[in-house]
Amino acid sequence: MPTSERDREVLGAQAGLASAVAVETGSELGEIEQVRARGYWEQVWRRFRRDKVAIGGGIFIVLLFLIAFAGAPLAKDWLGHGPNDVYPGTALDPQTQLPVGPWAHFRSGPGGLPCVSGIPCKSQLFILGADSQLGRDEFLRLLYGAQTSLEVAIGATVLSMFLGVLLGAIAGYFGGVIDALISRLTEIVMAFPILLFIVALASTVGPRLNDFTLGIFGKGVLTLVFVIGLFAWYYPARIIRAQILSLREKEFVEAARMVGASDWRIIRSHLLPHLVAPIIVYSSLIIAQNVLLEAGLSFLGIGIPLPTASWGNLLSSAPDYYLTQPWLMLWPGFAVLLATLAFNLLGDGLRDAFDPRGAH
Amino acid sequence: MIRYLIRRLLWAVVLFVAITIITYIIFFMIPTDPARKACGQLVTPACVKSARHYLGLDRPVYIQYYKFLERLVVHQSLGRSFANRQNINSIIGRAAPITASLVFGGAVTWLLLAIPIGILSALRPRTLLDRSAMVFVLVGISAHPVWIGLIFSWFFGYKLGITPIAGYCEAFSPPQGAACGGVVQWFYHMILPWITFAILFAALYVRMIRANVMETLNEDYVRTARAKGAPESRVMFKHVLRNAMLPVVTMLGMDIALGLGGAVFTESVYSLHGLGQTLVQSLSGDDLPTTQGIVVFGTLAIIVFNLIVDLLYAFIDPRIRLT
Repeated sequence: MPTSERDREVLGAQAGLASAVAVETGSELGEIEQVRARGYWEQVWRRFRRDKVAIGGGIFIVLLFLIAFAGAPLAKDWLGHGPNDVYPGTALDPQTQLPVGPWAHFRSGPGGLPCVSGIPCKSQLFILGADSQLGRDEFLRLLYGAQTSLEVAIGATVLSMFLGVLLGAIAGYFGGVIDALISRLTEIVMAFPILLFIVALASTVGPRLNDFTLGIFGKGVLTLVFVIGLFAWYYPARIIRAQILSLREKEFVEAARMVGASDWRIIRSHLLPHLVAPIIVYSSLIIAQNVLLEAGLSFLGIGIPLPTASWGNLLSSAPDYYLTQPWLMLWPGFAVLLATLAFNLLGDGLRDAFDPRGAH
Repeated sequence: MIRYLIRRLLWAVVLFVAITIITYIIFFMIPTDPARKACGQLVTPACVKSARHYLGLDRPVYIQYYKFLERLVVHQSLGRSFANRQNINSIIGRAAPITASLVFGGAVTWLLLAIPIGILSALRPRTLLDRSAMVFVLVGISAHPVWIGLIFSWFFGYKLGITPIAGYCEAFSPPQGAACGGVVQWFYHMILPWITFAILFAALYVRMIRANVMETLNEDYVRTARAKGAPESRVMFKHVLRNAMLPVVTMLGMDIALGLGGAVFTESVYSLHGLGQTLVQSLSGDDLPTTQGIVVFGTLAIIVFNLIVDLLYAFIDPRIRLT
């Protein structure tokens, strides 16, 4: 970050002085331009705006959401078939009997079966080809997979952040026995081979929870949200605890306590606003990790159950066509790479924007 | 020093108890009916009844847990598999060396990659080398290990044919009828898995080492050493690197533990029949004792490993020895 530009920023604390100087040096009364202190969020936005890479990440994420939640249904209407529709006899290459390749046109009757005279037959277009011998549309599955992956990643992040901030804030603020208990709990969770536990828990809890969708999520999404969120809270908890430990010794907390504010009020209106920055930054970085984790678990066959599409289970069926259609492993892999990269870049950019001293 | 040792040992025991309780809950209380699973394909009321008795499910929960712990501590036995009645200790005995060679070889690989790259990019910030290192970091933490594995094994194994596509070779005493064996073959088969496994951690370590070295370079004692006229090599090795590498040692212990879980992905891509692959198989076969055995064993390994790292750390860092 170029220092000259940063120096030109009028910082909140100096705004009083700056306006006084402006009044004294103004030649005539009434010509003075109004000097206004920039608010905290305005400064953050100004710093963030200069970070082109992070802006790129942010724009990509917005596009990804649009594609996943608006683009996927549109594409489904336009193509005339759904992501879970199977074309068992028709979406195959006539010579090799392998799934059709990218940009394939073919004709099929009802149920995806071959055309028979007398029954209406429709032309279908598979933009990225078929996903397997069952003949599902890889392109649509990729778009709908984005929905699943984003739901899991964001849901698990919200849950783990909520648990982490709650436990971290309580431990840091109250100290003593409560802090000791929560800190030991954090250490126990940290000492776990977390991935082994997630794998094991997903498999034992999964069959019971998979049908629980609240009507809006795909099958198995809430299982993964629950399982990942339950084991991933320790990292935010440690960060928030450390922050609260230093904040609670500050004068403004003392002042609030002196005028008789309750603990809950101090935490909510004096401490939490200072934690917004780390919460946003780490949420972005943890979402990136959770996209990877969902893909990994679904790859192992314990995440999102078929036929619901997710990037992980697209990746897991790809090795079946390893030698003949290697592109099937490219698409979901690229999707995961780009989504994770975007959230990582956004998170790094936000961190630098919130805390310019830490940037190098 | 003695107090520190005792504290660490006691903590390891607490962890062990906590972890066995949680695994017990996960494996024998959450699943609908372990006895039914124990019978597998032959679910008859008689079988379920005897299995329930055999597994002790007709007794109170705390007795069940106590029996489990007793078997584990006194007999060092993890039980028998539901799938083929094999002793789980011997299943783990076959799988553990594979995972160990993946994880430790991977750790060596990621250190060999990360230490030079991290130090060089800290010494020459904003150069082409530093910028490419940062791109490597971003891609390394964003690409899925499974995907990297699939692409590598397709490209290097299938397209170029310079490495095996998948599979494992025993380094010492390969079993009768094995396709390959010996240290050279073992190394040859492990190259791709090691690199695949190492990329994520290498990326994290490049970033960490770079930040540590840059921070240490600004310390007062480094300036003092330079002012005294110490040669640059002495400043680097004695003052900068020694201090910059201390946190790396702690992280290494934790990350090898983390990697034990992450090995699942690499193993399943390269069909290495290590702990992760066995775990996944036992999951799909509803083989609860094997799953549980692997989780307990993995956790124990991590506790012991962390204990060793803590003790090593006390020898490296004199500040701990004094307290």
